[in-house]
Formats: sequence, structure tokens, C-alpha cells
Amino acid sequence: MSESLHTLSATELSRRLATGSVTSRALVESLLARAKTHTVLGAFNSLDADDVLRQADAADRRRAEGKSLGPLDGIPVGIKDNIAVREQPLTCSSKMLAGFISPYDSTVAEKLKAAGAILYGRLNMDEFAMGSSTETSATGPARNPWDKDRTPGGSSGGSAASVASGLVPLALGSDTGGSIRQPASHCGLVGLKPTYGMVSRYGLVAFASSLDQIGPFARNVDDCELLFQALAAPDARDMTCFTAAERKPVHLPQNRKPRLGVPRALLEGVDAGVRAAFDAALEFYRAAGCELIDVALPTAGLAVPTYYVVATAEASSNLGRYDGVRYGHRAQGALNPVDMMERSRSEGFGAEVKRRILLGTFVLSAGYADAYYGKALLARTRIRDEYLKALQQVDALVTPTVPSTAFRLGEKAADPLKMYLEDLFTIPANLAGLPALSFPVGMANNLPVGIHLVGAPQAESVLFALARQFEGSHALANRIAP
Amino acid sequence: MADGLDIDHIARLARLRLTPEERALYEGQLTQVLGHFRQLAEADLSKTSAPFRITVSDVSLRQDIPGETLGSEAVLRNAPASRDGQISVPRVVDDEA
Repeated sequence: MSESLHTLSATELSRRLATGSVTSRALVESLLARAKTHTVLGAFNSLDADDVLRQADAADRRRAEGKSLGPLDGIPVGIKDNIAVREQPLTCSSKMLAGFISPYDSTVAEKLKAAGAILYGRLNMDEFAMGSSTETSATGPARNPWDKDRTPGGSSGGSAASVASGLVPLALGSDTGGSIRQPASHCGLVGLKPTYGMVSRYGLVAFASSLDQIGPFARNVDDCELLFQALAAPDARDMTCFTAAERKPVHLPQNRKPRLGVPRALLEGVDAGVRAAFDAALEFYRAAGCELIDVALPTAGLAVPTYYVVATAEASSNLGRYDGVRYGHRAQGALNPVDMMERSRSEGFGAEVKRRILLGTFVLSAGYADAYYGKALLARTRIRDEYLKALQQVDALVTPTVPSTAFRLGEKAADPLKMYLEDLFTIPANLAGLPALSFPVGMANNLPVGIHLVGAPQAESVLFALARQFEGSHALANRIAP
Repeated sequence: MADGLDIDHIARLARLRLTPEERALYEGQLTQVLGHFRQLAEADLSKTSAPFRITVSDVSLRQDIPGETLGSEAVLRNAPASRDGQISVPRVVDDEA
């Protein structure tokens, strides 16, 4: 039986752990064995077998003593390698942080430990979360389990590849412009970027602080919501995190049909296969009694340049801390501190990170800040206002998650602009601070296709409910890539 | 707008030292990306209410209570070089200065 444990969802594993028909140790042993036969996916940057077995034994002991910590107790959760877990490596898939061991726990790690979850390995990612394919990782790309010549997406590519291939039932990612939802779409998973302020970022390595959120990956909607609920809580250590009084979850109205907004003008350029799966999903919702309403989001066309100005500007500032002084890579034999900083940064950062630091430095530089950064902040206000206005009329906005299915590794690596356009549909939710969910709706060219729901602030429950409705009528949940 | 891109100046500001190959590559790529950004620079956004900012409510400000901090041992473990319980760096000031 242990051979099939990797196929079970977190909620099913939780049930079996509760009845005693399976132990956390048996589960972890089975996942460790599977990880050994799937190293080609490049999903993990590191996985400490002794550590995860120790955590599993502790969970089994708690359960035997009647002291279970709840539904996640004994369930492994993979952790993206930019989220701090005490005494574990924290590399952001960068040479800059090779050998760094986190001296403290992120808030989400604390939450998972308090829930009894097994913090299971360090997952590969684009370097400092900058990329849409996991190809900018200094440890090499992660691969899509549905087609190993293709990207799993990025930046949380290791998170997506590991969950999709049954190496772990759940994983954490981070999402600055689509880094959870795009890989979830490419790997046939459910992935959530929560409302900005819903989940603490304390202990998440900062990329673009006005956009970054941590969120869950799972193979079905219930699992995704289970992990989300374990993460969403106030935290005084992140001042952008909602206080208890500010937490007012929005639910799907029961007294009328659900309303889905379709921004048709944005759909030009979507690949035929993705478009067909998207249209079929819309037809499902219409037949199921949802009202489909055309909405206009006139400024959404500026979302990609707005995002890349804001994100790179913030990144150029956030990554200023990597100077070779207190931690991270330090170049040898430097003549003076400036020489040390310049050489450490030039040696430690990879090509995409340098490109974004340069771009961000330029858009903030004297003479250009008004034209680029100032303009981007104005466009961001407009985009947010247009989304909020649209979401007063509808319960969620729906588009494909990505305009096309997973591309071949190397296909876009030399063309940064082409790569940036991958994030067309996912970026506005980050700019506007809104919750957004990707979930699988079908296949095109033998590759998974996801659709993308954006909700009003704190409307995660609306997105889960709508996705669950689709999931219940289609056999797309809990799939393990062949 | 991208005409103003002085890659050497920007690299200096960013404390990055570029090889000649990197310099040529980034100059070309950034010019292309900034070309795409031109639609933003040229957009008429004059009627926008205000530039975006993250709103943080007053209640988000926590009480200023001393808490646990990392000990020097934990901090120095990740330091590239240390001496006598402190992080060491190349000499900043010459002896004669």
C-alpha cells in the first residue's frame, strides 16, 4: 500500500492518519523513496531525510498520545527556498546565498510547525523569485512532470513540480507577479495568491515588498484551502499583515446566481488550445447557473510595463542588502569595501537578477523616475480602481491563467520581454492586492491548462467555492503527472 | 526614453561590475524592454486620483516591546568573515589618514 501513498490528497492522508491506518513515518518514507527516482525534475534544492523522518516520528508520537495538533499534523509541506525555516538552508537558488543557514523561522514556518506539518525540503525556484520558468535558478532548472523538456513555470517551479509529481502533497510558494499561479497552471494544480495582507511575509526573502505574498499549492481545492487557512493570521512582525479586526472574509452570496466577469478585450493572443479549454470552462459555469458578464478593464493593457517598473524598482532597493558584508557571497581578496561590494554582487548574482537590478536602478534614477516609476504608480492606482469597480458588479473576474501552455526549456530564456509577457493575466492581482486562484480546467497539447479567478479583497472563499464547483464536475483533481 | 540609458552609469549606481559581454547584452535587452515600457511613459494618466501606495492602518503598528533577538553567535555563523565576535571587512580607512 505504501507505494500509492504519494497519490493521496492531504485531506485523505489526514483522515487516514487520524484513523491510524497510515503513519506519518510510512508516508514520509514513501515520499523519500519517490524523490530518489524523480531527481530529474530538479524540484528540490535540498531535502534532509533524517530531519523529515524525525518530524514524522514526532507527529506519530503526538497522535499516539492523543495530542494531535490538527488536520495538518504529520502532513509534509514542501517549502520554497526563499522562506526561512530555522536551521535549514535558505538559498533563493542563488550563488549569493549558497551555504546560508536560516537562524530563525518565518511566520509561516512557525504556523506550520504549530499545526504539526512536516516542513519538507527546500524547493527550487527562479533566482530570488525572478523568472517565469525556474531557468534562472543557480542550481539548474526544474522540469515539468507532464513533459520533462518543458518548464514547470516559475518562479515557484520546484513547488509546482514536486506537488504535481506526487513528491509531496502540499507546498508553499511565493507570488509577486504570478509565481504561484503560472506554475500551478502549467502543472495542473490549484495555486492561490492570497489578498495582500492576508499572510505574513516575515521570513520571506524580499523581492518586491508591495507585491509579494506567500501562498499554497495543492492537487485539489480542499487541500489548497486547508493549507491557506493554516497560514492566514495576523502578525505584528509584518506591518502590512491584516490585524484580527481587519480580517473580514467575503463569501459567495447565497441569495442570487454567482456572477463571473469576463474581460474579453484581454483575451486576444491566447493560444487556440488554451482558449478552447477556457471557453469550455465558461460554458460549464453558464450551464451551472452562473451569470457571465462582460467587463472592461481599460488600463489592464499597461499592467505588464507597470509591474516590471514597480517590481524591478523595489527589487533594486531590496537587493541592495547583498553587499558581501554581513552574510551572503563575499569576493576574495578585495582591496577596499567598495571593491568588495561590487565584486561580491557581480559574482553572486545571476544574469536575470542583474538585469532586473539594472532596470530597477534605471527607472528610479534621476531624470527618469517621474517618467517611469512615477507613471507606474499612477497606472497602478488606475488598475486597482478598475478592478475594484468591476468586482462590485461580479464575484470574480475570469481569464486563462497563462496565454499558452508550458513552453520548452530554453525557448524564451534569451528573450526577457517574451518571458515577461507570460505574466499578462496574473500581474494585475498583485498590482491591485487582490486574491487570485489558478485551477486546472483541461488539457491542450497534452499539457495542463488552468484558469484564473480574481476576487475582491479577502474573497478567497469565493474563489475556492467557484473552483470547487468546477472541480466537482470534472476529473481533474488529484492527478499525478504520469 | 530609452535613449537616455547609460548602462555604465546605471551599473555604477547598482554596484555591479559588468564584463564587456554583459554590458553589450544588457544594453540591448534593456533598450528593448524600455521600448515596451514607452506605452506607460506616454500614457495620459493625468486624471488619476493619486499615486499608488500601500495603505497600512494605524493599528498595524505594534507595541514597542523588547523581544528576543538573534545572538551574535547566530548572526556570525552566516558572516563571510569575523574576528573577535565581530564581522570583519577590508580596511576602510588608511593608517595614515
